[in-house]
Amino acid sequence: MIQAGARVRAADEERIVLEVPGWPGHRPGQFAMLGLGGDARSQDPLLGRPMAVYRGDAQNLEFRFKVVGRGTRILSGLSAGATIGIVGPLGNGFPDPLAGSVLLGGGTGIASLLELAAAVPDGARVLLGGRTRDQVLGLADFQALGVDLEVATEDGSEGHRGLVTDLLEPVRDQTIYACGPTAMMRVVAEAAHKAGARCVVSLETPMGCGFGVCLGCAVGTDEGFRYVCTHGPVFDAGTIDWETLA
Amino acid sequence: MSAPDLSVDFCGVRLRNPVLLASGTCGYGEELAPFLDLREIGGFVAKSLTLEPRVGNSPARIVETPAGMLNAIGLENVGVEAFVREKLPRLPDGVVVFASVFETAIDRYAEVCRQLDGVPRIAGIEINASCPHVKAGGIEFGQSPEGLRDLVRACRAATPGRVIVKLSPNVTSIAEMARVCEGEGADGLSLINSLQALEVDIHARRPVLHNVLGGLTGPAIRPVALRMVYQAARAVSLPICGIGGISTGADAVAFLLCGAAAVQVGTATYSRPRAGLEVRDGMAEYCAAEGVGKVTELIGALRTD
Repeated sequence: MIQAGARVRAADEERIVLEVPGWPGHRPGQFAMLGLGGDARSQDPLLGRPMAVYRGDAQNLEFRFKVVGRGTRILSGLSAGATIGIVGPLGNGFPDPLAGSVLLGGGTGIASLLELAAAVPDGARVLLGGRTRDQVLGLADFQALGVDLEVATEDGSEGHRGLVTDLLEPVRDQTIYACGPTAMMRVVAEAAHKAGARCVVSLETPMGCGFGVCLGCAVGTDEGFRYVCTHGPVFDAGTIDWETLA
Repeated sequence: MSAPDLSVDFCGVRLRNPVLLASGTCGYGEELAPFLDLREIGGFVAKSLTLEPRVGNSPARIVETPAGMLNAIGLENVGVEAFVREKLPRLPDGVVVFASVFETAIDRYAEVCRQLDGVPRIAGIEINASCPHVKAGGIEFGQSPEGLRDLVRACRAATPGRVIVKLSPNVTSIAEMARVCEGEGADGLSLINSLQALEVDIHARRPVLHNVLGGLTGPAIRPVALRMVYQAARAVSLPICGIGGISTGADAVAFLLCGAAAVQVGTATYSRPRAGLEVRDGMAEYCAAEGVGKVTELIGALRTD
């Protein structure tokens, strides 16, 4: 894990691309805390914003998001050449996927799944959902992977008209990776459990530090509180006390 | 001119520089090891300990506020026994570590102090006299002179080691509280702890934090903390460690000028794990630029003429 100054290569309402000298590499499902403010020392907003690494190589990292608040609005407005702070890679990341794995993503949760999809042996089955075609984050990148891809949009502008969870047909002993709105992940977890399939989720909570000292990102599990930033964000869905994520 | 001498003495502990990391912002030390060498900062204050392990509050535990944040973690910690047995031995030699103690009753505070007494690795014990977000019969010991007096007296009796009292800012007169501690034989003070605060979600029409109230920290509180250090330093001759929204060397210098012999960096670490080192380096830059040979020259050097 490093704390570094990152140079913005590009930023807009959907993504930010950073040049991070010394980035030690990362696993699919890990994230970074992106600091706000041009001098890498913002006092207001104070805290970094946790962002799943969408994709990256030795030096360049790309993050995809939606502008939902002050922090993401600031990130979307940064100019190329600006410097922000970055702390990462953080979190446990996804376990190495087995052949036959199904990936299900909704909303900004899709951002965690691109590199995982590329890592599934013999090709992944990927289910993505959004309100409209334009809202299906990274659709073109998933199409370019050549995976078995199915899309659901609420307005029917791409693929199945309805929810991405409509597309799920869990099979016993299969592993389903889900990332998206909490309510969506709960539905997937329930369906997987009923079918005797394993469900692995990537959770999102308000975070303070992202690296395990503030203890702010607690989630209830069957073993008590665990931290989404260090024990997670990836968890076996069966261990999660979903009520604590309301 | 050679590099400025940043070393200070705080309550008889030699610190290589005046920067400590605050309790609750650096775990038990090893959590920061990937980012910095703890031997490069003055030292750190570990997460507050209780007699038994505590699991902490239900989520939501934190929320960002203007230039700050609220926390209601609930003093989640591994308990004093596990700290001594498992956490302390993992620290490299040369790391200065203070223990922090919190409890819900005075006799329990004293018992934790007794269990920490004489543990060789511990440089001193910081008494967490307040936590705005832990229910303890509705009383923060640090909010009443009588409660604080009884607390410090009991802790003083429980250990001959260094006892530093971390003061609550949620009081009418910080000077009065400082005098109470001096009168009961505390070796030093650290201030301030977090400001009792509230944030509301207007769409849910509920408090954001599950615990309702939380402690406000970060740059938003720095002027309040600085004012209280200034007032406490004028009221007592005890060594003072300044805490509250410090995120740069310049911030730290201001606290020294107002009478602090050392500082703690807390919330800044959340957004920059190396913040403690950055504050140290900023102090060194100030000293070099201003021709200050020893950082101790700055302590109490505020001019009010």
